[in-house]
Amino acid sequence: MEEYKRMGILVLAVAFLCLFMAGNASATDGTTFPVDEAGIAAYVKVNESIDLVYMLDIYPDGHLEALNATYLIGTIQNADGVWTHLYVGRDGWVIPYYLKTEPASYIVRWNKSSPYYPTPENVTAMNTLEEIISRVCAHIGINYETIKPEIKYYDFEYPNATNMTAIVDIAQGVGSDTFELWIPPESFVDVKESSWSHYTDYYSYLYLDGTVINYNDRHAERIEYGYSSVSSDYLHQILVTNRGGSQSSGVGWVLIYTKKP
Amino acid sequence: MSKKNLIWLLIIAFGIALCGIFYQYQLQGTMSNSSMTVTEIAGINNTASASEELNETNNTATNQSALTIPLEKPPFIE
Repeated sequence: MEEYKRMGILVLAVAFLCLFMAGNASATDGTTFPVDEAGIAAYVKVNESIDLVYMLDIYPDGHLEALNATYLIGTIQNADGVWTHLYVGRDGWVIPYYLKTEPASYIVRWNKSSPYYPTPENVTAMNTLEEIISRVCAHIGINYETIKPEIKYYDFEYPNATNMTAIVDIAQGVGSDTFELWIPPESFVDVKESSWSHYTDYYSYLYLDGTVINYNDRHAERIEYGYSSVSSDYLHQILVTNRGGSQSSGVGWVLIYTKKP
Repeated sequence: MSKKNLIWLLIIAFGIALCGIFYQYQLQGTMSNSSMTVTEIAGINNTASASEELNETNNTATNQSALTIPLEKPPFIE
C-alpha cells in the first residue's frame, strides 16, 4: 500500500514538473503582439513597467484571452458598447486595437453612454482607442494628458497605409446634413479601407451618392457600422438624415489610405 | 494494483503532461508566427489637418469635423 502511495506521488510530481516546464517555456518567449490578427491599433508606452497582475482587473470576467508572464490580451467595452482588444505589456506598452475583420470606423466614438448628444468636436476629440488608453492610465494612476501626445497609430492589416482620416457629420433636429468627398488621384496611391459608423438616437438614413447604405428606424439610440468603397477622382456625397425633433444622427466616415510621397 | 498497472498509470500521466506541453507550445507557436516584438515601438505626433489631405467641398452645415492621423510603421517591423 505504501508503495502505491509513493508511486502515485511520483506520478503526480512528474506530471506537474512537465507542466511547469511547459509554462516556463511559453513565459520566456518574450513580449509579442498578434500582428496577423490586428487591424487599426494605437500604441503608447505609458510607463517603464506595468504590474500585469494589477492590470487583470481591467478585463471583465471571461474577457481575458491571453495571460502570459510578459503580456495580457483581452477585450474591454468602450463607451459605445464595442468590445475592444487591449494588449498590455509588462514592459509598459499599451496597445488597444481592433481586429482586421472589424471596420476601422469602430474608432469613431459617439460616447453613447453619455447623457449628452454628440457633437462633431466631441466625437473627434477622443477616439475609442484613446478612450481605452485613458482608462488604462486611470487604472494604474498615470495622468492621461501627459501620455496622449505620445500615442501613435498603425494599421497592421494595411502595412503600407500612411494615413487615416475620420470625418464626422451630424444632423440635428428634423433635417439632414451632407458633405462631399473628393480624393484627388494625383495625391493618393490607394484607398485601403473606407468604412462608416452611423449613429442615431431616433430615426435616420445614411446615403452615399444618393443610395441608401444604412437606415435605422428603431427609435432608439443605436450605432451601426459598415464598409462602402469610395474611389479617387470622383466627387462623393455622403448624407445623413435625422427625423427626431430634439435628437441627432450622425455619420463618422473613416478612410485608411496611402498617400503619394 | 500490479506493477503492470502502475506502468500504465505512469504512461498515462506522461501522456497528459506531454499533451499539456504540446498545447502550451502550440499556443506560443501561434503567437510567435503572428507576432512582433513590441519593446521598441516608437512614433510621432498623431494629428494633422484633414483639409491638407482631402478636398472636402460644399459642406452644407457646420456640424462637421475631420481629423487625419499619420499611420506610423513601428521600426522593428521589417
